[in-house]
Amino acid sequence: MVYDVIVIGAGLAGLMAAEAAQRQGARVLILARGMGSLPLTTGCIDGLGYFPSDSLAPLPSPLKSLSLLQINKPQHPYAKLGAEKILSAISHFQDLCCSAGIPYEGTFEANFLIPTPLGTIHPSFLVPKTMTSGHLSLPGLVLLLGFSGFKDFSPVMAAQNLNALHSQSKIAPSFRAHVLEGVDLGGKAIIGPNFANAFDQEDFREGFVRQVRPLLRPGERLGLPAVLGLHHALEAWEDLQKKMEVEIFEIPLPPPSVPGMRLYSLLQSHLREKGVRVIMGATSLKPLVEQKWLKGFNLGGAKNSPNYKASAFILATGKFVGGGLDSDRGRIFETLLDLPVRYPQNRSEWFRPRLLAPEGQPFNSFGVEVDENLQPLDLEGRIIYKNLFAAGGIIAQADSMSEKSGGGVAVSTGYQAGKLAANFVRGSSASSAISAGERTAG
Amino acid sequence: MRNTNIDQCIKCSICNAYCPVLQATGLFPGPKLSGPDAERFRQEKNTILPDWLEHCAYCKICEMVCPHDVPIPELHIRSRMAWRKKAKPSFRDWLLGHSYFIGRLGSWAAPLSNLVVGRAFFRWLLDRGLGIDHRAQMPLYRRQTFEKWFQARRSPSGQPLAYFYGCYTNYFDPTLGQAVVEVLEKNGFRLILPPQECCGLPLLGNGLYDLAAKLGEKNLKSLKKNVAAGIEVVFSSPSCGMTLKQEYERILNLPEASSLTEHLIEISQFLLQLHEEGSLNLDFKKLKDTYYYHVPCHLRALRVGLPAMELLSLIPGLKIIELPEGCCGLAGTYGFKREKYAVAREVGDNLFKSIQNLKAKMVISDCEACRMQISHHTGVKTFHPLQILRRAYRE
Repeated sequence: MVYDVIVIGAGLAGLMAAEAAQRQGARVLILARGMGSLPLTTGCIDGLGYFPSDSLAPLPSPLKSLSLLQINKPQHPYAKLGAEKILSAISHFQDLCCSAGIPYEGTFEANFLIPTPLGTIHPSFLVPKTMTSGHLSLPGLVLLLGFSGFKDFSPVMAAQNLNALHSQSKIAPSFRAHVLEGVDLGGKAIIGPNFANAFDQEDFREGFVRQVRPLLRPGERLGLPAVLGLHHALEAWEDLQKKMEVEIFEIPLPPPSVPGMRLYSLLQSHLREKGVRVIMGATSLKPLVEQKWLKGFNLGGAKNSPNYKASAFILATGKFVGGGLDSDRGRIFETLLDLPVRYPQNRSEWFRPRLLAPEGQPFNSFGVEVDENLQPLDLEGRIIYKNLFAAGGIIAQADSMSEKSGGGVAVSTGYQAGKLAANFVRGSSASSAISAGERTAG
Repeated sequence: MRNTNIDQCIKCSICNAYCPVLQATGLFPGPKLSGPDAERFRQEKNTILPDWLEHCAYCKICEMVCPHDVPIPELHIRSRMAWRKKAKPSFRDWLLGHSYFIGRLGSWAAPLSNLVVGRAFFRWLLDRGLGIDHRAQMPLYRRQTFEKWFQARRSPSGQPLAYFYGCYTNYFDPTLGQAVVEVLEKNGFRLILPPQECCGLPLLGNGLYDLAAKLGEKNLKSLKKNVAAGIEVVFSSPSCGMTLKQEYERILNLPEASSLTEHLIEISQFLLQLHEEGSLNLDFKKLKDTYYYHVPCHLRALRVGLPAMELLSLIPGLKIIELPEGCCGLAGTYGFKREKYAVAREVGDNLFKSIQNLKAKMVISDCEACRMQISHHTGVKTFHPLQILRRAYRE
């Protein structure tokens, strides 16, 4: 089976890459190990939250800090792309989500500060419309509401911690908490996805409104865990606001994250409609290589396993959680093609003793080095495969955990890698057509 | 135990997010809890509630979405096996497990058996007496089984190829077997039907492991003869194939299965390989239509990609669109059980809704259980990819 572009990985970077390549007219296949890591994320797109990453206060604007980043970290994927390419990728992402019914609000020029379920501040520059009124610089009173038995969100703890920040004048709004008793999901487990399915139904929402309306005080906003619908989230959120005549915002939860699942299924179904194929469960891919060219992958590595070939490839396998990187006691390696990864030989330098050190953990910025066209390089700085591009977490130098830059890097490198790969295919097929023409002419 | 590295589980809960049963019923705590979490207790020899185990539909989606390759379904089935040593399956489960035997009887007695099975009174009896849900649609027995049909005809000469057809094709859907024969003969093969028993999956699903292993041994012995003679084996049911290729070795402890696995090939994958080698007969007539394709969970578990979609895309004029991923819910005999019928329907609900919203006229799927469940809950006609291929050769 021969495609123009094969993307490996179904996280945000891989899906964006597939989308961009398909838009350029390429026939695209995604090979993925699992569902991608979007359901493990908040569903918000973080641009640049902290830089340098140990600074205490979140950045007001990712865009304005870009030049500082370019000077201090010239190898950072953002520095390689430059502002213009980042902005065009972001606006493309926003158009796509908006037309698919999950509008994302914000710009690269300013960070939203949204509350976490622990009651801390999370800077993110693009958030689903359903989270915007949770912005922590909007003053006023907020009621945080949780559900009894729902262990992913304790409104009491969140409110307590947020009020502590309020009293230090770090955030504008103040909070009170309430736990709703006796919510029935028809006997199903009290977990985020089951709440989300329930909120998709109008009669469940009506019952909820009847219970919650009497609790609201005039002028208050309502903060709820991000479980307000899975397939019809925007509709559910609008309906609840209308029925209760109150501003509602969602707070993203620990995994499995419903907003992450929404974004995943939005991108997946968009791609499927456009004819992009997705093969999941590709856990043992064996690369087919001819000199400086990647030819394809054998699915499974057994004698009868099928081969999938393409003219260009995009590696979007993520880091340790996604499975793009792995380690044993002595070394860190890229799992698919064994591309070189730069890391200190002394193992103790991979980690800092404090787990949540504000500077971040060194291993979080390990990865594959790329050039300005996002092509992986060897340790001497030469391109390894002429037809290979990289996107997202697998690229070295960005520490999404401490910088809060994961989504922005994924969207921008994914989009650009997709475009570059599709252009590469077009270029190489044009040149092979020319050489074929020359041959016939000769 | 093989590679059961439960420390690989990072508790990300992505399996819970995509477990179809967890979203359909409160009786199942989800793959994370009943799999790697409970395994810690099981390793300490503590017992775990059987309901937890019984409600797993064994779709293997958890294993597929897991970013760290935790073998959750295997943990499940192994603990079910341990529990079954103490608690024997009910008569109903025994009966459903023996579907191959019932199929043999039913076909022998057809059309009488269909008349009986079709009667509301009989279904009421089965429901009340045994707990086989009266709403579940029973397939119709065929008096002329696929085997009988095949033996009554003369095969043309050609390269020999063995075919593992499975019980469903034999007793309920011989036309599928006929399509497989016709398509392969169009490509210059002569089909051989090696003596075969049920693959054993219904027995596995109903806790009858010893008998499943016995049938497995018989199958291995028979298939091995073909492989030793240099004849490859194709199968048209991904569930049978998955059992032969994965469960024999991993679950039923039949180590001799390992030498066989690479000679067992899913039928669409086999044809696609021919295409890659440039030897597939591409003499397809135009089929101007749009069909929707549902990916069976057990095909995903085989990890061979989506060969049927690639294959059908070779037919000129045919547009083939993949339905949103998700389990259909039937899971073999699971959806026939009274206490699980509603769960099975709810599991497949998203799939059924999207089939209805798309106004699909026809759904294609490789797996017989998916085809049964989809037609039952949507009323839409369903076919195996090879049946479409035969049509393209004919029309």
